[in-house]
Amino acid sequence: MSKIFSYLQSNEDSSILAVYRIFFGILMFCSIIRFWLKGWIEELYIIPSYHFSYFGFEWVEPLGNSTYFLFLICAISSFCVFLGLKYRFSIIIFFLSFTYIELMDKTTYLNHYYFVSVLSFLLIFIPANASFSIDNLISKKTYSTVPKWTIDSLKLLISIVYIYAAIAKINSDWIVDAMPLKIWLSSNYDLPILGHLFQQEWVHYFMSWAGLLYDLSIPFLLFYSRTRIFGFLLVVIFHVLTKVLFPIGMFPYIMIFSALIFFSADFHRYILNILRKILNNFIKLNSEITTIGIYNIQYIKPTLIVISLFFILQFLIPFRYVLYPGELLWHEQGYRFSWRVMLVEKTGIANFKIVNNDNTSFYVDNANFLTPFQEKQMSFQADMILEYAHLLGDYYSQDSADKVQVFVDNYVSLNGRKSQRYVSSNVDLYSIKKSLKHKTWIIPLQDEIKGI
Amino acid sequence: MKKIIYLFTISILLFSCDTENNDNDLFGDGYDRQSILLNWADNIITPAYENFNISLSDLHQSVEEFVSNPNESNLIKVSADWLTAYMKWQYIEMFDFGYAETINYKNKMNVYPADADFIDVNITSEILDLNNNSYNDARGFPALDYMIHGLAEDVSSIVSLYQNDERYINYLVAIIDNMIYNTNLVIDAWSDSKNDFIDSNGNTATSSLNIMTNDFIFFFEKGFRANKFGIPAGVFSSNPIPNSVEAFYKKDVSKQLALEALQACEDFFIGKHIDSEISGPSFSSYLNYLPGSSDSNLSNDILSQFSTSRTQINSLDNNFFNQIETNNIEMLYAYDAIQLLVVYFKVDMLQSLAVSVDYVDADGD
Repeated sequence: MSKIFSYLQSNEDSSILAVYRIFFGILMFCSIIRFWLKGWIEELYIIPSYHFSYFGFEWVEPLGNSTYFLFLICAISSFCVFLGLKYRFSIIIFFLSFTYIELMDKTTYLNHYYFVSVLSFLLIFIPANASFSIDNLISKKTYSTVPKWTIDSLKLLISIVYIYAAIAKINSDWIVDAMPLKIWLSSNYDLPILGHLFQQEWVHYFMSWAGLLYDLSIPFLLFYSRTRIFGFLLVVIFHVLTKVLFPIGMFPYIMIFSALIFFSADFHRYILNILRKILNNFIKLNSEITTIGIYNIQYIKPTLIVISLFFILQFLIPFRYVLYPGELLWHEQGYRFSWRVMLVEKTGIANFKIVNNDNTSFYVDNANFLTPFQEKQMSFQADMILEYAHLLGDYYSQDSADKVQVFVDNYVSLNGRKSQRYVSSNVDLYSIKKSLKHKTWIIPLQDEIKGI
Repeated sequence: MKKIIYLFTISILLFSCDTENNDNDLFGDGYDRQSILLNWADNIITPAYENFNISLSDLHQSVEEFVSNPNESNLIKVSADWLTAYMKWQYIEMFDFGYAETINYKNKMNVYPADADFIDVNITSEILDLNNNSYNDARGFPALDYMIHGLAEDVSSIVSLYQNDERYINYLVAIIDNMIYNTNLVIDAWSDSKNDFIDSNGNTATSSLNIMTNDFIFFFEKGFRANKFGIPAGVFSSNPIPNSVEAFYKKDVSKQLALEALQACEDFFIGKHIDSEISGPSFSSYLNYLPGSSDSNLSNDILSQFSTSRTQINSLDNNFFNQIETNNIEMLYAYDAIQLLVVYFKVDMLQSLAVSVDYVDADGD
């Protein structure tokens, strides 16, 4: 107990958090701007007439043209985080606006967006503006150290991502069949030299196994000072490689900069000194700033309780899939929010049949309701299939007393297997309530994937 | 130590691209994708366009003979040449890329059912420039179908319409002129861009293999499955729409046209040269080459489903209109057999080929 107490009392150089805040802010700012410039706000949130919601968050919807305003708020708040200007307020606004954006449409779910959301939530409770921030100029106070646990909690979150990503790879598709990397790597045949290598079977296995060992070992390599530089080199190589191979956006950069937090205080002071020199060329700051030794967190007890709860949830959520029988990679119940990165290659087709009360029936052209991207994502994810079936049911039913039935003709292929029926074709999906309960109407995979 | 070996190997993987020379033999997966593009361009697309162009010129000529001398035998000649050209058209409708896509070629040639009332209005108001896209259902093969077979009850009354009212002649000529005009544009553009097509052998959304794969599947799903079977059989509506069959006014050739389109798709899948029994590289040989984790052979499954579909279609009435009116269930069985091919193409084949498709280029993870 006293050990825990003394740990909570111990401090670490505040420059570590300052560097983290600066990189996080600028990368988030660039991500939002990039998203905007690519026209994705319009393509993903304005053009689609319908959006897939997360269970319990049906009220979160795009705001029409005001969606641009939402992104603007998100961008400005990330820039304020970068500056350390009204940090606590800015990071809260960033967390809220970013999370709202991600909740607007399930179609665009990506693990790295989820990572940004949970990371920005954690940052709310962390004094990342203790030094090298505009807040210091305003309050005329700067802090040389911060509680050590604030830095360690960031390290812990990053370690969770890697370790859980490794655990998720311990299955027969990944290890025994080198799937889905076999499909993805061989499709990169148009890369010079690498394209040729990626056709070799040993490369598929090498990359699968190396990827698993990488995810498993990175937190430890980064943790120990003797292996840190080597670990960081691996981080850079791995993420640059994924950047070359896959359309993965800003994620590699976020992970590379995140690894820096494991480095020593000297390293971070060094970075800040460089920044300070650059800044001094432009502005001379004459204001008197008092340096205070230790940053004391107000409301320390509630903060620690929130953070403990946060991590307990982070530990448990990825394992919620054990509550569902059957093959996780197939039915995807409990798949999201679990750091299951790049595990499946799925292709599907889903045609919906509307049966009227007089027993006449017809198939729906999905293009009338969904964008190609939405249709593609929906066609192999059961919760989205159900949600879409309800949309169709509502649309084609004259009134609540005269309900149609909605059936789906649905085939999915997983990791190179032959396609098979996914959702049962003789279940009226419109009569099934949306819930987190086990979806008995998913036809089990006619194959076994061993592992966790 | 292990890690150092990994690091070392990965670094070699990464940096070898800078040091070694960029030999084209090392380019790609060992399967010569360019051979597919070459086969498609030289032995399928180009000769299919040539065949179609010849049949269209024949049709043009017989239309001119009919125009200068409108009688029954000349009209029958036009009808026969119309059918020949329509059959050849089934081989090229799927090439909806490049300039053909730009000018919406397939909508200029084959949107059915034709709108008879609209055509009648156009005839009387002497509309002669049909190139605007608002004339989709008043031009091309379906409009010719109406002009040749549907203006009146029998051949003699149709001929007398042409003999007595020049406006019919003018509209007939306007349709064929528009078809020739657009076909020439597309074929010229194809000859100019053929080499680019063959050279574009990467795996991006704009590479030839990816574009052609998408077009092939799109034609099979929409142009073949939906237009020829699904829509008239009422798959997409509460009730069948029998008068939306292809060649509605000619009446007895909808099966013949559908079988030809099925043949065109199967030939393309196996890379069979036009007018020859030789087959070259295409989807089928590529699928056989690619490693799959499933035990079954996808290419064989697809070919056997082609033959199941053909058997099912063969059992139908020559005139799909009659088939739908008398026994639509058989029509739906044919649709189901074809739908299984769509599943093979869109799910299994797309996953095996791992071609980038032209969806939104959003990030993945």
